[in-house]
Amino acid sequence: MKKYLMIIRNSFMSSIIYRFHFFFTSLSNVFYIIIIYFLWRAIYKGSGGSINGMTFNQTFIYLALAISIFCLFKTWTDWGMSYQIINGIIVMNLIKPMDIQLLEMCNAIGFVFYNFITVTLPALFIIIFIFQPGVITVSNLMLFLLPMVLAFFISFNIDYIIGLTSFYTESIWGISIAKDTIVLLLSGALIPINFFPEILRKIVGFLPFQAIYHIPLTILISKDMSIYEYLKFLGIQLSWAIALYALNRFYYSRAIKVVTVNGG
Amino acid sequence: MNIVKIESLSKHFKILKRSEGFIGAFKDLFSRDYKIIKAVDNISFKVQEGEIIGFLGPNGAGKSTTIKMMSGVLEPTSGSIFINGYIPYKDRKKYVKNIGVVFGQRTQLWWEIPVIESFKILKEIYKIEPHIYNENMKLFNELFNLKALYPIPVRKLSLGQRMLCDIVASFLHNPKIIFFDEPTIGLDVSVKNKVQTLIKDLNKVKKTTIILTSHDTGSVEALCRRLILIDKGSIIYDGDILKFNRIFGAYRTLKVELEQFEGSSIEVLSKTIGEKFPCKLPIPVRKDDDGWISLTINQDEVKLQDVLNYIMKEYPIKDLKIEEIETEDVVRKIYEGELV
Repeated sequence: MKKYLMIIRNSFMSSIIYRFHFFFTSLSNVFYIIIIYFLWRAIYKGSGGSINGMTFNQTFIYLALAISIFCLFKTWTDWGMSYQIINGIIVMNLIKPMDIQLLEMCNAIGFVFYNFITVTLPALFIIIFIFQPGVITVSNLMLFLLPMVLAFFISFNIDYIIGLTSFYTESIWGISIAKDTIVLLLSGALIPINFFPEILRKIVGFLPFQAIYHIPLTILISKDMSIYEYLKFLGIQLSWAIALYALNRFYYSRAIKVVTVNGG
Repeated sequence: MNIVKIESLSKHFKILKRSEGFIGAFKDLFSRDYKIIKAVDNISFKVQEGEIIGFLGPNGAGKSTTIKMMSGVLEPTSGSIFINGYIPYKDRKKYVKNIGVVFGQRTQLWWEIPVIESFKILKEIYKIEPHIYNENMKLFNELFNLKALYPIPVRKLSLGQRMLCDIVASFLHNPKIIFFDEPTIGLDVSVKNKVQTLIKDLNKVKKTTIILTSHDTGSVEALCRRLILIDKGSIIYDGDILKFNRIFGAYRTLKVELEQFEGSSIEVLSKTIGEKFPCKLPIPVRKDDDGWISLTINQDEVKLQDVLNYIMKEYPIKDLKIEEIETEDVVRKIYEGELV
C-alpha cells in the first residue's frame, strides 16, 4: 500500500513545481464565481424569492461549489493517459509492478490535493466570507464528506474510461471535450438539475453524472434531509462507483491486448 | 539453467495504410485499408542465467518489439515465451517485480523530482528491504560516485547523467534479468564507455542476466560474448561473438569524395577495382546519396592501403574517411553467405 501513497505524494509534489500554473488556476475560478454571482442575481431579481424551489442563496452556493468541485476533480487523467500512449511513455508504467488503474487513481488523488489548495480553498473562502450565503451548517459539511469521496471515485472512473479508449484511438481530444461538456451539463454543474424540464430530469436520474455534483451538493444545501433520503443518495453513488469500477476492470483486460508502444 | 525460453515468437501489427496529401488525409478518416506488418517473425532462442547477450540489428529490425514482449508489455501474436518461470504478458504484475528494463530513449525516473526521490519511490514500488537498498546504494556510490547527482531534478540532468542514473536504478531491486534497449543511443564516446563499464561491472558483481539491444556493432562487442543478429523480424545469426568478430572485425569501409567524378564512371571504377583486387566476392563499390563513394574492404584479403593508393593515383581525392563496418553491411554480408 505504501507504494501507492508514494505515488500520491509524488504526484502532488510534481504538480506544485510550476508556480505560475498554481496562481492562475486560483484566479480563474474566482472570476468564474464572481460571474455566476451577478448573472444569477440578475435572473432572481424579477422573481420574488425562489425559482423551482431554490432560493438565490441556494442556487448560488450550488453552482459556485459545483464549478469548484469540477475544478477539484479536473485531474486530466484521460489526457495524461492519451499522452502516454501517443508518446509511448505508457511502457514505463507497464514495466513496474503496479496496477494501472490504481496508479492512475493515485496520480489523480495527488492532483486533487493540489487542486484543493489552489482552487477549492480560495473558492470556499470567497463564497463563505465575501458573499456570506449562510446556508451551510457544520452537520451538513460532515454529511457532505463521504458523498464527496464517492463522487471523486465516480468522476475518476469516467475519466479512466476515456483514458483507456486512447489505447484504441491514441488521441482522445474530441472525446474528452465531449465528455467534459456532457458531464458539466447532465450533472447539474452548469444549471441546477431542479431547473431541468421534467423529461430531462428523469433521464439524468438514470445516468452516473448527477452522482458527481448533484447528490453531494443537494446534501450540502438541504435544510432537513431525512436519514432515509441520505442513505438512498449514498446507495445510488455506491452502485455507480462499483458498476464503473467493474466496467473498467473488464475494459482494461481488453484494451491492454491491443496496446501499442510508439517510438523506439 | 535457461532463464529465457522463447519459441517461434511472432508479433504482427495491423497498420492503416495512409494516403498521401490533404485529400488523402480526409479519405483515411473512413478508410478500412489495413496492412499487416510482421515486426517479429518466428524467432526462437534460449538464454542461460548470468549471460550477457546482445541483440544487434539495423533500425526497425524488431529488436525493441522483442524486448517489449519479453518485458511483458506487448502480447505476442503467436509463439511461446517463458522467462524466470513466468509468461510475461499473463502475470505482468508478478513477473516485472524480478526484472529491470531500461529504454535508452525514455527514463523510468520521475521527471520533475530529484534523482534520490525517484530512488525512494522505486524502493517502495519494488518493496526493497532497507538493508538491500542501503547496500546497493553504497555499491553504486563506490563504483560510480553518483552522489553528486542525487539532489538534481531528473529533467535538469544531461542525457549521459540520466542514462547512468537509469541504469543504476534498474539494478536497485536486484532483478534476475535486465533488458537494455539501446542503452548507448545518443551518447558521446566517453560516456558510452562509462555506461558500458557500468553494465559490465554490475553484471560481474550481481550475476544478473542481461539482454541488450543495439544498432551499433561496437557496443555489443564491448559487452557481450554471445550475439543475436536480427533483421526484418528474423534471427539471421545466433552465436559466439568471437567468430563473428573474426569475420567482420577485418572489414573496413573506405569512403572517398572524388573531384570531377561523373555518376557513370562508378561502373568503371567498380570494374577496375574488381580486376585489380580479386577477392572471393568482388569489393562492393557504392555511391551514396551525399556523393561519397564507399568501398567495403576485407583486410584479410586485400590491403586497404593498396586500394587507397590505387584510387589516389587514378582520381584526385577531395576527402576521405575510414570507418568500421556498419550493421547494415554486416546484414548484407550474411545474406550473401559470409557466415555460413
